[in-house]
Amino acid sequence: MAKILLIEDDNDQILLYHTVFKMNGFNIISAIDGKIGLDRAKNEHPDLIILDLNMEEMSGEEVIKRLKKNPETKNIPVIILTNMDKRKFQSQMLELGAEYFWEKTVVMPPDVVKKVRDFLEKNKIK
Amino acid sequence: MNMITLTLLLISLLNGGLAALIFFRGLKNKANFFFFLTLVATFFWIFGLGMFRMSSFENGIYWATLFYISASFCITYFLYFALFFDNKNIGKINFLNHLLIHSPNIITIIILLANFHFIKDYSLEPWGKSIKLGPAYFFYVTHIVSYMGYAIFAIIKRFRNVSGIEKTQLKFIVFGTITASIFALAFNLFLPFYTYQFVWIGPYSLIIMVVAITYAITKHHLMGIKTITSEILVGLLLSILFVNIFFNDNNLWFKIIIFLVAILIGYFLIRSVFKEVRQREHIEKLMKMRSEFLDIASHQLKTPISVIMGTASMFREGSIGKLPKEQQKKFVENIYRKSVKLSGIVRDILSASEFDTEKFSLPEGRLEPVDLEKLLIKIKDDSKEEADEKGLELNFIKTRAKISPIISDEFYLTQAIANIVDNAIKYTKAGRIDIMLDEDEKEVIVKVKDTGVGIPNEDKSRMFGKFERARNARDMYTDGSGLGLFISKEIIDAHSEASIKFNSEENKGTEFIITFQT
Repeated sequence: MAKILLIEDDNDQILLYHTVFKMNGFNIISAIDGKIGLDRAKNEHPDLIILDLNMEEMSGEEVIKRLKKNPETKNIPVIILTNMDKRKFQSQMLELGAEYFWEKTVVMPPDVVKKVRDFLEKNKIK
Repeated sequence: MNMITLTLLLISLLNGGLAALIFFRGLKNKANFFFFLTLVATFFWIFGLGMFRMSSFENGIYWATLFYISASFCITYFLYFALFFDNKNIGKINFLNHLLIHSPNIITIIILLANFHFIKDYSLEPWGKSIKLGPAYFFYVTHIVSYMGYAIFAIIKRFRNVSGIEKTQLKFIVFGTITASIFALAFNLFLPFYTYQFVWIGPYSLIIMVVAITYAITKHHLMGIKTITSEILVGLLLSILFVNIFFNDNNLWFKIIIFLVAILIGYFLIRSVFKEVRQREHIEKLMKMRSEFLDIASHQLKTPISVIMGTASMFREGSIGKLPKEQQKKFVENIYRKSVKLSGIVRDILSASEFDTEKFSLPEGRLEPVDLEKLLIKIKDDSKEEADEKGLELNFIKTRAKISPIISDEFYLTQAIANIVDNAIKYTKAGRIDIMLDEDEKEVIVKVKDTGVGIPNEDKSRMFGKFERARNARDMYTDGSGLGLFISKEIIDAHSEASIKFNSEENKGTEFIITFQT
């Protein structure tokens, strides 16, 4: 099953997404801040990264910029999952190379799993 | 009066107008203040030059004395301007330094008034009055050239270090000022060694400066077109009235009075327009602050909501129901905790929205003498349960029998101090919290001292900001809104002569000190 890296600085959110992804048979790993996220992306070769934007140590914007700059990580698809306003940040994030921009209060965890599965199938990632 | 003289008088007026403009705009910093003085001195310099051409042969020499002295001051203030422009933090210049910087002016005044080899010969040539300059003029030239050179050096240095919009604005100002200075040096300082005939050309270059600065102002909407239009109209009217004074001698006093009245009316007109523009700028600033506040507030609200909604959605879908009971309980616990956080944030945001737009002021009708001892004991009692639960010692310590009451609003003051006590309890793992009350000859002092995690040095400067939290505070207690200290500071600052500050060392503790002058 595909390996997913969740970069998210809120422990409650991590617990939530870990549970729902694991229950649906995914291999999910997480990083509590942007810097750790970049390291794990390099070392663990996830199939997909789910990235929060508003993080204290390093913002999600900086993380995606660095991911896309590094040849080792630039081909890993990134999905933004955040509480930031879609109208304000979506186009910027898509320009930086994100696949989708989902708001946490709009796309619920079971739907996140479903959409991720569809995305992976469409792109033929096991 | 010929065209050249008329133009000189108009240019001097233009400079006067620009000086007034900067004055009305507010002499916000020292650079502004000295630029204003430079323009005032320039006004006298060019006005002196115009009057030199226009006056009788006998009086001409006095006007010449005026413009040489004015020009000397003009360059001096220009140097001051450049120094402050380059470095705002140049520090305090003491009296001796001022005296030193002004010494060439003083010497110029002395040698001119004592007629000490400055003006060698004064004659009437076919093209007008002419001055031959003596050896003391070399001193004058040295003063002007060195000051001007250093000033231009400082301005260019500063200009190279700025970027963005500031650079675009400065480009015009720097270009105009330097061009004008070079022209003035050439035609007013060096050419008079050979002939005095072209001494009037220098000031013309000041038009370039005024146009450049005005362009910079209008282009970047520094003040809005409305102000500029009213200034141009007033300037035009004043110019016509001013020139009219010199055209013939009939009704001279009447014309002068009309001119002065026009200045007065112009002053009030421009002032009222300025006021309006300032108000508009203020409103725009408030709108911007409000939208920033809403942005952050909405994000703060959505964070717990998304966990509550997400967890609930999983319950509804049935997936959490498949988990062991213990794990299910954890999710319910999360919902509960995030709801508590949400309600805290809502409370803080509602309370902070009172403070978000402009400087908060205490409700005047409710101000009364407040007994701080009673107030602090109440705060202590209210917080006792929380402190007990964490095993913390919470004390109230009063070092004097009688403490003067302070003028305040009890509701807000309680909120301000309770926020600090709450924080002390929240961020102290073990040890004690002391709420202390003291008074000396000048002030009543409240201290809240804890043995908590302390505030890291890198976070100290922003602790009173809105939605700001220290790094270790976030690690320890994720659910704070970051509004507590902001609210406390706003309330304390709203008191006349009160202040709040803190001393803190990471892992040792924090001491907040609130003082009220008596």
